[in-house]
Amino acid sequence: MNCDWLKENLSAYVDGEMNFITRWRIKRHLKECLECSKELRQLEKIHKLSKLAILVSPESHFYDRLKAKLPKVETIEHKKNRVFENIWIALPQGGKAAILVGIALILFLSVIYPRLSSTSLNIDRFEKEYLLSQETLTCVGEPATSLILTSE
Amino acid sequence: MSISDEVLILKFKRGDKSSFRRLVEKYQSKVYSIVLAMIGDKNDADDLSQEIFIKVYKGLTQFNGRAKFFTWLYRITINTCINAQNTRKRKPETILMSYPVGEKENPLSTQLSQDTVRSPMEILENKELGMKIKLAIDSLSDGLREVFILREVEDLSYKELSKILQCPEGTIKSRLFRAREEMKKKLTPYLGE
Repeated sequence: MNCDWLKENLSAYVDGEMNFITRWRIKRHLKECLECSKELRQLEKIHKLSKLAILVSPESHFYDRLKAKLPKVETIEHKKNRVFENIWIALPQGGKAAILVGIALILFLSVIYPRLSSTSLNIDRFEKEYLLSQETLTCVGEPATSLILTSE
Repeated sequence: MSISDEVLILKFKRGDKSSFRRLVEKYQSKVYSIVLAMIGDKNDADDLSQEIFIKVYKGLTQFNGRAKFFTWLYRITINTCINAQNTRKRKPETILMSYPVGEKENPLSTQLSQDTVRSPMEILENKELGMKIKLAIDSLSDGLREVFILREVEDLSYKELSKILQCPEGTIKSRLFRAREEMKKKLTPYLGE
């Protein structure tokens, strides 16, 4: 790390915009380099003094004076009835994603899945097959009975 | 515990006017400080700050919450200042009178001095140095001044600054570097090194 690179990046260092490794390398350099340490102290002083010089409070009764200029409340449409919309706005991104996935799952289970499975669960077809199998059993059963009788 | 901006906005949308008052009280000093530092005239700064909050009041019902409230507020602040600079003639001669320097007029300075910067505050009590700093800020070019002021007032990250000023983070970094270099050149005799 050389002094020229550090001087160009010292501003970002003061603002805490460096990653951990770079911060560590800069700190190590600053311990050894008097010139760069002086630069850092100057930047920190400028930062603190500028903050003090810029930050001021407005004149008293700022809100009261503002209130007189605000448009009437009636002119603004407060959407009181849109409760769900307001809750939606306040929800974090993760909550919104969870709700959307939940809705998609409910839709799939209640609408799409029954239609998919209905083809394999056709009651009429099942009934026909059942009756046919009963008839077959009866036909197969009769000779067996006669066979038993014959043997007797 | 302070209520978050999102909750205050939600309450305002439901018709609670006091929520807007709380938002104004939370941000009025910062908005006013930015406007004063950008414009340089105390009366204009007061009018413009009020204009900004009226814009916020009108637009708050349409605010969708995709961005943070302060990002939106500072964007309005910067745009209003730029428009005012384009339409009004700047008054540099009033700058020195515009900024209250003493602690009594500046509660935020008092608060800061109690935290970590007692030594700079003592230096700032020297009115001459205070005025030099304000003149140095005022002499920065427009692109540099707005990013420098926003950073000093709110300690915003480069990412947040890039959203407000709608430019890449690299640009923010280089503008802040250049602004501080200019400040350093003008203030070196007063920095005590």
